[in-house]
Amino acid sequence: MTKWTLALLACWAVSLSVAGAPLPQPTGPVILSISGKIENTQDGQTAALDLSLLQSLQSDTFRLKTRWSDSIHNYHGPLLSAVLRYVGAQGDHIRLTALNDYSVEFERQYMDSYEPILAWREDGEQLSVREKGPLWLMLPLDKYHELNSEINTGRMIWQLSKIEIY
Amino acid sequence: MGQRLPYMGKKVSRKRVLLIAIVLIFFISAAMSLFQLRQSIALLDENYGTSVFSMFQLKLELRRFNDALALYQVAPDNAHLEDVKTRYDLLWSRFPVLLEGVDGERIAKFEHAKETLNQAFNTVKSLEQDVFKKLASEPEYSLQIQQALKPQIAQIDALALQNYYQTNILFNRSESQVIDLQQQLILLMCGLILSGSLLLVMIIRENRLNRHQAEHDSLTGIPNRAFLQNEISRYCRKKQPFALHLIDLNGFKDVNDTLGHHVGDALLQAVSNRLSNGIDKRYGCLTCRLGGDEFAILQPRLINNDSLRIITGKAIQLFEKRFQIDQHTCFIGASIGSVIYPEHGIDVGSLLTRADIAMYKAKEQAAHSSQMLFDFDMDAQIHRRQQLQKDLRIALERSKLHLVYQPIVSLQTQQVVSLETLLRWDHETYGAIPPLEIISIAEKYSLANTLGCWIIDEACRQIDEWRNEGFQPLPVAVNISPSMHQLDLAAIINQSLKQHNLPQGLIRIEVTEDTGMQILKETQDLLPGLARHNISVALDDFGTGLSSLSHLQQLPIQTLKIDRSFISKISEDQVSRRLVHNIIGIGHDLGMKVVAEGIENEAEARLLATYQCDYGQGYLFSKPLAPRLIPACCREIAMTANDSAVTETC
Repeated sequence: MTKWTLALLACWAVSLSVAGAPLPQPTGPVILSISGKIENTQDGQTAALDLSLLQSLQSDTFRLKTRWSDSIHNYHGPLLSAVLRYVGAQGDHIRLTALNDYSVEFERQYMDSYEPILAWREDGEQLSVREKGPLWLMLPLDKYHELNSEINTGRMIWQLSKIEIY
Repeated sequence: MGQRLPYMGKKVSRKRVLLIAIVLIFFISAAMSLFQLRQSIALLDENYGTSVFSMFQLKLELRRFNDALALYQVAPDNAHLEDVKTRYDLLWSRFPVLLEGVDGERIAKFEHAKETLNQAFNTVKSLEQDVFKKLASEPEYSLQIQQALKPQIAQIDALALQNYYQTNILFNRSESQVIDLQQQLILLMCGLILSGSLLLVMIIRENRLNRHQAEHDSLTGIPNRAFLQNEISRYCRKKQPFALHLIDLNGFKDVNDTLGHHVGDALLQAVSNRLSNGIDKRYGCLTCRLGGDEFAILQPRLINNDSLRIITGKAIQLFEKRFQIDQHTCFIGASIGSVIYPEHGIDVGSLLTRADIAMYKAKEQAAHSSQMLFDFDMDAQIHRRQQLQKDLRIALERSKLHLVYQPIVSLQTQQVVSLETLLRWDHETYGAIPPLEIISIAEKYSLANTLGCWIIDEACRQIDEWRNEGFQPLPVAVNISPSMHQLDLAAIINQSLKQHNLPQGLIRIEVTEDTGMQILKETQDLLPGLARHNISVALDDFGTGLSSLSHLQQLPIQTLKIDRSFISKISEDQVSRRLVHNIIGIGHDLGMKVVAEGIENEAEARLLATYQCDYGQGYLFSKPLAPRLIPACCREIAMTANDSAVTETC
């Protein structure tokens, strides 16, 4: 019962946010800034999100082994789709950029079919920049076999700091 | 046939093995092709290597960190310090990528690579304090950090380059392996295409074989009914005259029954060989087997009826020579029915049916071999027969048949002593149907027993009716059709008599000589049984059948009826007179009463009376009459007798 109430409250919160309301100012350090075709911002251009906000969005945990490690780890973070809903993203294309200026682009549809997460925690510990933090786009490699390919490996951007919708 | 099966079985199993082999080759080729393809992709994937990218990224971050230090040196402000710190973290993050996971595994293959990387990573780690603490207060310390990094940058550059070249070599090597694999793949593909083609060829062959089997007779190998029907349709579409001859073998059943099916099969093969060799090749005809012992010859290009007769004559001639099967000699004949397109039909169905009708006519005509060309009278006869058969059943159900009665008169006393009942059927289309035809139809279509029972019952009913009208019951003689002897006749007759409250003896039986013979042959006890139940039996139409005098002696009958053909001649022919006189004598000697049939005038009656013939029947006394006329007729006959007696006395 409590679960359902919470879910309803969450939906209500999301629907409120989608309605073009200005976003609250981040209280902690900004770890992700989203710009482009979005409806909800703080300054009319950019949505600056801190960790506590990302933690409040619908999240998921993937338990998998990437090609960059020797063992299985738990990756946890908000769904990319939840993040985009939060900022009221309107465009069909998405560009993600890392701290070192590495960037990837893909269609929104791609994201809808696989529901990737922006992992901020690995095995219960927050990811630092040294450990590919603050955010790491994690694909559910364990659920979809076809994701284990060169092109999808390249899309798993780490040290993510900027998202642009167009 | 017995020899064919194992051979065919062997052939079929060999074919199956071949088919399985081809399918196996096909699947193995396909599976191996797939495997090769995957192997090629895996090989390329494996050696394409992201380690080159990761190595260069490390190299890049080292340089960027170095550059950030240089900038901070020139402009030691907070922003540049933050940039140095970020660059440091980013540089740090590049090492685990090359020390773990897939890239780490790859790099570890190069000699000293891991040591170089670890050494560089340790150097970077050792700088942490300097970067995050010392630099803020001592910007010039950045130069020292740069110095510490310098050898690492050189080593990492060298490793990146080495990794790049080695990976390229590996990639090229794997590419050449892929080329090898591709060549194998081409071979496998050839195998695939070849086995696929073979499969296709086999399927086409099987298909053709199936078609051949569907259109040919398995025993004789000649075309079958399906093929013939197609051919007839084809010729019908061409609209050119052709002939169709249906051949039914005579005497084949006996061969099959007495010498066994294997001889029968061999005989059918011999017949088909003889027909195909003797007619097909010489006259351009097509011989087919329709099934059983029925064959057909399709004769295209019919010029005139003479050419038709050439073929049928030849066919009959082919059957004249005996057939030698193993050590058995078989003589068989052929009944051939022929039809001509378009004269006798314009489609397969009508041509085959009419040929069949003609063939049956031919069979009726001669027991051995004969030929008949269809004509529409035959069709009409068949049609009439079929119609009558259909209608007889209905007539029986709806009592549309009726009986007429003819008096049998004592030649001595001139009194009517009994009646013979005769069957009548006035058909709506065909008018009065002769009793013999009714009986033969009833016999053929299993209606004889129903009909016989109906006659017996109707006669009893009629006697009862007469009795109620005050007419003294007279015995009625009923004609029995051949198959009725299989029934318990006495029981049926007694049952009917009882039902109408009539005493025994009022129903008599008349059988023809042939029926009598059959009864004698098949049911020994029938006639004595009838006698025990006081049912008198008369032998009808005596002198026309095939019975001998010895049979006459064996048959337990009470009355002999001399056929009309003898009586009609006694007035003028002395031989006939003597014959009849003697038959009467024999009858009496055997203890029978004798009836003369077909008496038409006084002279015949008088002559027969002098020969002591007991009874007479004929138009002189009365023709067969409807039941309501019988009492008056009987009275009239009695009166005429009295009159003539008075005249004679006078």
